[in-house]
Amino acid sequence: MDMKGEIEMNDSVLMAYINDELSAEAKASVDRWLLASDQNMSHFNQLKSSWELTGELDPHPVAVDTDKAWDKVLNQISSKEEKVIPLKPSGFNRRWIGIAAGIVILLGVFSIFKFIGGENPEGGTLVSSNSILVDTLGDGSIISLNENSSLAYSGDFNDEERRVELSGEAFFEVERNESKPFIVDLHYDSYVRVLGTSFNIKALEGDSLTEVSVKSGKVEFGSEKEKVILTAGQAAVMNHHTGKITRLDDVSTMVNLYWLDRQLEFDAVNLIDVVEILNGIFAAEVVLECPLMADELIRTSHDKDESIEDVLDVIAEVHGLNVQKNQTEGGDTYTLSCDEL
Amino acid sequence: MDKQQETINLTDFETLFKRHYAELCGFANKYLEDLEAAEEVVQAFFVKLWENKEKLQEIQSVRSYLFSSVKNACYNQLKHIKIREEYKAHNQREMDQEKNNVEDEFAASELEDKIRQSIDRLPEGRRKIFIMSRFEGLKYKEIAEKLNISIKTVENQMGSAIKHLKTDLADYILFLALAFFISG
Repeated sequence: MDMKGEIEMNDSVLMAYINDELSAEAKASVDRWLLASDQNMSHFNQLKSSWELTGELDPHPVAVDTDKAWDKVLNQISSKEEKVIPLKPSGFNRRWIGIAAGIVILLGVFSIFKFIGGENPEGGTLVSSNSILVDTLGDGSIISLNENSSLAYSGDFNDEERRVELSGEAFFEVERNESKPFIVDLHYDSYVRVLGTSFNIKALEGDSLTEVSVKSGKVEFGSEKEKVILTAGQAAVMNHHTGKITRLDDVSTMVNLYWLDRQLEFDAVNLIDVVEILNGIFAAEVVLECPLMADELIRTSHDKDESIEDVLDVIAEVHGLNVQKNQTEGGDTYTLSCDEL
Repeated sequence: MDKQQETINLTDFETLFKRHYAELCGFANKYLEDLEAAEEVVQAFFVKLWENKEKLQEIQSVRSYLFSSVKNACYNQLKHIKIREEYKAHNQREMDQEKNNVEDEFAASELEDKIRQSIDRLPEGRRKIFIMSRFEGLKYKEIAEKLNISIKTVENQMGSAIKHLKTDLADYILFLALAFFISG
């Protein structure tokens, strides 16, 4: 093949030959190469057959990123499964929940007398039904159980480690004790291990995801397969089917803690993320129709149980947006828009 | 989805998705002539499918189910678009025919499946270039301009792509050559 002036032969050149992308000179060079041996010809024919076979595909393949698409779908599946969780008793106005929660906390104080944490050698179980239950364990840790959840603790709670088992959702404010780690056992062999910190766990029966959000300090969240360390403001979710733990963005943390403290505090959060947070918390849908403002930083804090309308009005006023409310069968939609430039 | 009837788990669902996604997008694209819209339709369909995953147990041919569902979703999508009426008149006869042989229409040959999977396994950039050349009929120069790369890169990527396909399809090509030899 070392004829003078010949181009170097490879699959790229042959492919270009098939595609009629070569100069007349190069083409002639390929022609000579093909005739030089049966082996050359056979190699070329195999390439050509492969090329022709692909052309018969109907529908034609399209250039899509399957992995990226799967991430999107998984995200939607996950967020839908989360929405199944009843954060509010049906039929009640949200504004009532704050008052109801206040009462529950009072009731919780009374129930401490009935519940003698670590001193009970038999261990015990905290169970909440239609309201939030707040209680203090023997070591001083405060537990806020969301509705329909339970927390069991073992008899040797105060020995070497503090071990509890959660089913449902709870917010933990763990009393610091470096010599006795506080361990929450969860479904599917997952766990959360801390020394002293505050965090939220959502581990609902029948839900394929377990979510941990940290408010302060540091926690270890682990499954059979892996573990991650989460610090304040971080959240992660474990998929029961795969045992995989995925870190979530900061947006989720505020959404996940809202059930308890009903606090909305945006400290330099992008408007587009604020919209996502509001959509995660409120039943209404918020749509941002102003791409230019998506990255605008929002700094506002809102009182407990402020309505979505109050929140949006403040943001709109400060940042020069228009709010439009539409009532549809599916619920209220709020559209944030801006004037054309 | 054959044998034991159990609700599909997320891992199997992911496999199902990844196996058919690209092909379903191509299929939806045929109706919508808008790849972005096609991707959205297919993704939305899978989200819905997961919510109704129990349904999958009763389905005989998952492949046919996926394709006919995506087709319906595309028609629904087109309903929202002005061209619906125009489109419908155009394709009424075709639709009627398709109704009668959904099974046949969506049955893919083993070979077709193999080619698709081989293309899907190409690295993203190379796959894009290959598809632009093979299925969108673009010249190397046009591809290079569109992707802001050199013509030489396109040429090399095409060479690597065809090499990969040739390796994956070697058995079939040998078979075709033999068949040709015998009949010839």
